[in-house]
Amino acid sequence: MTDREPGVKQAGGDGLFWVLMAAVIVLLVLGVVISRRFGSDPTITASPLIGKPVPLVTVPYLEEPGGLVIADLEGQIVVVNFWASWCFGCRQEHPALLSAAEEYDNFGVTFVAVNYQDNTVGRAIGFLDEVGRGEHTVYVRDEGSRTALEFGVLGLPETFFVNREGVVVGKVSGPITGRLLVETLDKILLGQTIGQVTTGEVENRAG
Amino acid sequence: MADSRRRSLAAIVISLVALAVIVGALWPRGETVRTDAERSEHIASRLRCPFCNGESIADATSRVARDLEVVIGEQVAAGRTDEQIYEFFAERYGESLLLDPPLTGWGWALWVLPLGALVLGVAAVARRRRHPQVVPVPTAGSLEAARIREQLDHVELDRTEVMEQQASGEFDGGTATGLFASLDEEARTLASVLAASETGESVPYPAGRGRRTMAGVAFVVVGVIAIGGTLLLTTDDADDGGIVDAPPIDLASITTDRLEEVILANPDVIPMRLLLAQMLMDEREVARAAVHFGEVLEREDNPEAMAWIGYISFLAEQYETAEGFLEDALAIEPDYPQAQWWLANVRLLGLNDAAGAIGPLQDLLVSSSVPEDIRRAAGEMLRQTREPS
Repeated sequence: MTDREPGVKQAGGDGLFWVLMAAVIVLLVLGVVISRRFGSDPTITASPLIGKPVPLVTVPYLEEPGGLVIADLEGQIVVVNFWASWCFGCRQEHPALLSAAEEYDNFGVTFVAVNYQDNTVGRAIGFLDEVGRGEHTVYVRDEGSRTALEFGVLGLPETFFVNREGVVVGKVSGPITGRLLVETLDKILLGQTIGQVTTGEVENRAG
Repeated sequence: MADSRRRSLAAIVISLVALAVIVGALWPRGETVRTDAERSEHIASRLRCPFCNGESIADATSRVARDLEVVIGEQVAAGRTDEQIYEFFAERYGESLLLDPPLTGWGWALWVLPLGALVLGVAAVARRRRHPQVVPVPTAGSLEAARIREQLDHVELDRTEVMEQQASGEFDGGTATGLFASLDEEARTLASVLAASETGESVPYPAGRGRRTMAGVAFVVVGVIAIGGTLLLTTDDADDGGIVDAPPIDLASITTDRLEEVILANPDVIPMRLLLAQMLMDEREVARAAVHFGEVLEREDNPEAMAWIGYISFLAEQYETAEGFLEDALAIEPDYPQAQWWLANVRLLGLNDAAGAIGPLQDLLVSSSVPEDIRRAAGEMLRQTREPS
């Protein structure tokens, strides 16, 4: 710092001080704004699974011994739906899934319904007893959250689409509708891309 | 207080806040982690549990969190590095699962900004230190001296104004006296600087009133922003979003009222009704919960609803009824730790039947599916029943 004339010094010191303080404020505000961007902006993180091979995981059958390796269904289009007996959305979308499974059976489409986050197998079976089982749907259950982890399931219901090459091509978060199922499956049958769709809230339950 | 001291204080406060932000953000990373268990715990505390409303896997109590802890433990035992394990989760759930923002994309800015704020804050303080609070007074006849003279005139104007307001009864005597005292004080300081400017002495430099207000306003603004920034940067619950566009909601955020409406429309949905009733119990809405457990029992012999009705009867001190319901529940589902535990409580505490309590307690101690807290409590209670009273 150079020596200044006494009368000027006060103003000079003040100016720099306020510049520094303003810079600090700007940095803090920027920090807040940027931290806000995390998680709130869907373009930052899209489902990392899309475009990747379907996870190699063995999923136990819900009502019989043994398990299913979804990747073994290569050659089929696979719809993997995660559900629980307590989830509203799952109940809401159930008829659409059943009728689509029926309708697309002849087109080589397999529906896999993964029960996840039910406290007991009994509750899951009770749900199916109540709302009905699809003739063309494979019912399995997640054990130790292994399948949900591989698929990156963040809430229920969530539905993944796997093409005939065994690649995950689409994901729907929230209850799926009959129309969306038909549109999506038609696109996959035509070899078009799907990406990610959100239909509404997915449900979480700390249980 | 002198303006410069105020500003030094502001700079120190901002620096401390910036330091707190950085320390808070870096602390968990800086820990030296040794054993596998500590490493697992550390990793679990840095990953968001996907079903738990923004809590970390370590903090959350849900089953998913326990499941994912097992996965982390396996990976640690398999010798994978922390980075590999974070990567494993990010590949599946996306980076929103990481509670430490990664140093890519916008992530770097989150780390650099508070550091920048700290450096600038320290620079500002250092500057104030070098810049003495007692400064040479302006030379007589300089612009600065003229400004001080003008300020002195303002003080006199203010004094006249206060006198008028006092005369018109706007102030009471006490308020006016206080105002006069502070105006006198200001006038004295200004006059002493002017006097000193003639002789060239050094005196504490008085603050301009405009600047003083500005410093106050700035101080408040900075304080608010700094506190907001600290909260946002050091807490992790700012977002629950991640892969889905609509943020996932916790069932806790679905009100029992909304759930009740859905159930009224779908009266035969048993699992949902049981969930609602248990949520109502959590909210201590015992009477409402009892209605729903009763509705379940009207539709089927559900052991869960029976056990809960048993527990509610126990709370209502209807011990015989409670024992009956709990026995019925256990007849249908013998491996039901919660019901066994309640039954033991009903018999020992309600019916003074220590001998009857021993059976369910022993069942709890030998069964493999009993939660640890219940097992411990059962062991403790069993010891009590055996002690001569």
